[in-house]
Amino acid sequence: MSQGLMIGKGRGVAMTGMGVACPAGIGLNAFRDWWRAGRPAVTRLLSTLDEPWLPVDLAGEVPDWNPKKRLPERKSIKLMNPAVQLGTFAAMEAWGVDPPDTTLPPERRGIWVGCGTSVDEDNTFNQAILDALGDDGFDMKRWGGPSQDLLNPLWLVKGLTNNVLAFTARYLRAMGPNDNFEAGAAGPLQALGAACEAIGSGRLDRALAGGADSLIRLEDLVPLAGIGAFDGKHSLVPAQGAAFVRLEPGASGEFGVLGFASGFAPVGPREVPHVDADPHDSVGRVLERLRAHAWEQVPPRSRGAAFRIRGPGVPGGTDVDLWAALGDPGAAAGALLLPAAWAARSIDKHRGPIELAALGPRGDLAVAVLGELP
Amino acid sequence: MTREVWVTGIGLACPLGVDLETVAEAQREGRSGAVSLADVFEAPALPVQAACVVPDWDVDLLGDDAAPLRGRDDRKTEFGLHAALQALRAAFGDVASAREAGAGDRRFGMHLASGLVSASVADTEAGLLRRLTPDGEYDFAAAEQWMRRPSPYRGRHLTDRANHLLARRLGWAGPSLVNHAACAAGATAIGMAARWIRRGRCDVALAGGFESMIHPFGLLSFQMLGALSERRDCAPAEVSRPFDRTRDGFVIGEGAAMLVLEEGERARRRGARCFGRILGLGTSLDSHRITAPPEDGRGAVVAMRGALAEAGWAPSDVEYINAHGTGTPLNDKAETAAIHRVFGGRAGSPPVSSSKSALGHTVAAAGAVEAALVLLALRDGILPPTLNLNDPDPECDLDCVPRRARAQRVDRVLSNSFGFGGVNASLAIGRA
Repeated sequence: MSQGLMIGKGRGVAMTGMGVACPAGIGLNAFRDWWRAGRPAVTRLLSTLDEPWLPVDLAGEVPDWNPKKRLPERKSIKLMNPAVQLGTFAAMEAWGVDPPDTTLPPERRGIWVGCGTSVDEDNTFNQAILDALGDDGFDMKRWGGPSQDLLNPLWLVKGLTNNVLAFTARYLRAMGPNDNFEAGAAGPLQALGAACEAIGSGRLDRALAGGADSLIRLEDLVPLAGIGAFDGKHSLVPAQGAAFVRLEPGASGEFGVLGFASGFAPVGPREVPHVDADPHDSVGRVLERLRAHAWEQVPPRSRGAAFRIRGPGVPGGTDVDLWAALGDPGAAAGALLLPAAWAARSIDKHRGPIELAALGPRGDLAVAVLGELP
Repeated sequence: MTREVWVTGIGLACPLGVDLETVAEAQREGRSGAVSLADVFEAPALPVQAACVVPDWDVDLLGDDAAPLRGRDDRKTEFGLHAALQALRAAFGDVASAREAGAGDRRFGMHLASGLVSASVADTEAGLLRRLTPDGEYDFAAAEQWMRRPSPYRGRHLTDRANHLLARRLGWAGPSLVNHAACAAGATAIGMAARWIRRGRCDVALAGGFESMIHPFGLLSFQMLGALSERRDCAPAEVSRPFDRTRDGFVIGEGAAMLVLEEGERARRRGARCFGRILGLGTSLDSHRITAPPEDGRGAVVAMRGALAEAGWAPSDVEYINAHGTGTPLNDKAETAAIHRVFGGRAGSPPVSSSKSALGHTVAAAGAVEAALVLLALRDGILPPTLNLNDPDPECDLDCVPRRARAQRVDRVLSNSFGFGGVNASLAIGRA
């Protein structure tokens, strides 16, 4: 018996729309052109961040991003950080109906998001903190008083990590099942798995799944530099991006989700007492178990040699290396696997199954197998 | 065959106490966890006077597990670990046995809810101020210095720190997620983890939430949004007044709750204790404003109906609702409207109460802490009270169990949690 998301036991789930904003360009057409051209999309880091001590030269930034041109409601842009702007755009593009479809009840439309940890843009607090800084340190009298005037009263709202979910729901009149979670690059694939489960079990008729993130902010770059992420041969190129896929009950022959599995392989510093050597923390070993589990769910006639697309740091090789060209967009890397799969199928005409795998910085792993629904 | 989801372990660190029986007793006796904010830190210019603080907290309560946290001043992660270890001990006897049961096993998962960053006063000085110039720009030289020096502050804000530490401690290899569904996150994490078990993806899952926003940034952020009560004409314990005509906002709280969820047959075979069952989850989106619900509570209606559907209950089956009940004028009115729509008006509505009258609002942990309190109430045969409900708001026309816990055995309960961004979750919880 399959013990995964039971994708094969309920309704089949087809991928019926795609949206993307990443260093390759804005929108699916730009992504298609970039895929065909095969050119790198990383550039010199924005000059405003180009401090000589910061060991970051290159970055994958979304080119010519102008939220006023890309989002449906100008007045809310001030409540969106860059990742939320990109994510909301990609989600709207994936949904793809303008004006929003009103025939489907709002409670049958759902959204799942794999988000990053970025809370807000740089410099949100700086002036207020400085104002509250007295000779003897931080002065709570000023912080609770006049320093307030230097803060955006909506900073908390702007920093909500579930804002892609919130704004997209509002624009698409989606009121159904949903979730927002953080598992690094594995998060958007987790979102895909959860959305498929909801459609497969009949709780929803249409869903968006994907994610958004941006590592191009000082509050991320500085600590990353501190742990040596930009040093050495395989240094990190920070990037940003977002991608979403639209999912619906699918028919035989449609391109959809055939299998899914997720798990955990602890990585990172050993700092836990009682655990000197953990025999289970090999990412490669856990990945192989998850792959086997995801493939168990794929009907025999849909199996075959898979085209593999993997997120940054996933061991075992990949048939296309996106990250040398795009940089590492944090949690959004898992989301960008989705338009890459779409391109592999629609442009490269790869007709067999496509296997996606993503790894989060904590050791979260997720695997999805896409292909023609039986 | 339907797979049941049993709760075989509960762990708590909340303003009512840091162990299960102390919390259960406080709930039965209708005690409040509120104290004067001045007892926490000096904030004379803040108009807020009350906070619900985890009492007598000491990281050494974690024993050997305190080591990676000592000196980091990350209260929410400390609470999360404490609650998790407590729940694991309740379910497996000790943490080593929990590890032995699930190490390397992808059928043992973890779904925890966490809020935004923590930042204490000391943290603000140590971490942020060192990186700013007098003009409010980044002092790159200072930032570089900070970056290159080993610091206990680095990494402390990570919202997934408890997941990471627990995953390494336990070696469980199943799904591990950090839920970021704002104030609905705790309930959503529990409901999603229960669904993993119900649908066969996992056999055991640790689920819950942890949060502390009682720090300068957290308090000021909610206060600037007008969400906190600014009442100063009463004792701190009397400030939180859900469903009362005089309510004017919530009291900030902090804490954590963790549940060990286990497939029923497996738990039965090994003779595990059942604290209750997680039977359904409904989630929804308001599709409205980011910080305010629609007046008709339509998002909450969808969430409650979703939980009922998954549990296989009719509205008339529900015997008690643990409300989101923040004590803000908008929430309580909209939640009342939603309950009326689902249950057919005042006459059809079961008793409803708000644990936030005693706990304050524990934000991302709220759904988990309140689910744990519901499980204790089911065990003890009481309905938790809505404290300070002296002048019921006629627009909140519900039986709100005013002021004192009510002795009443119930078997089927909904627990509501709603959050910024218009995210809603409702959990269906059943007696053991």
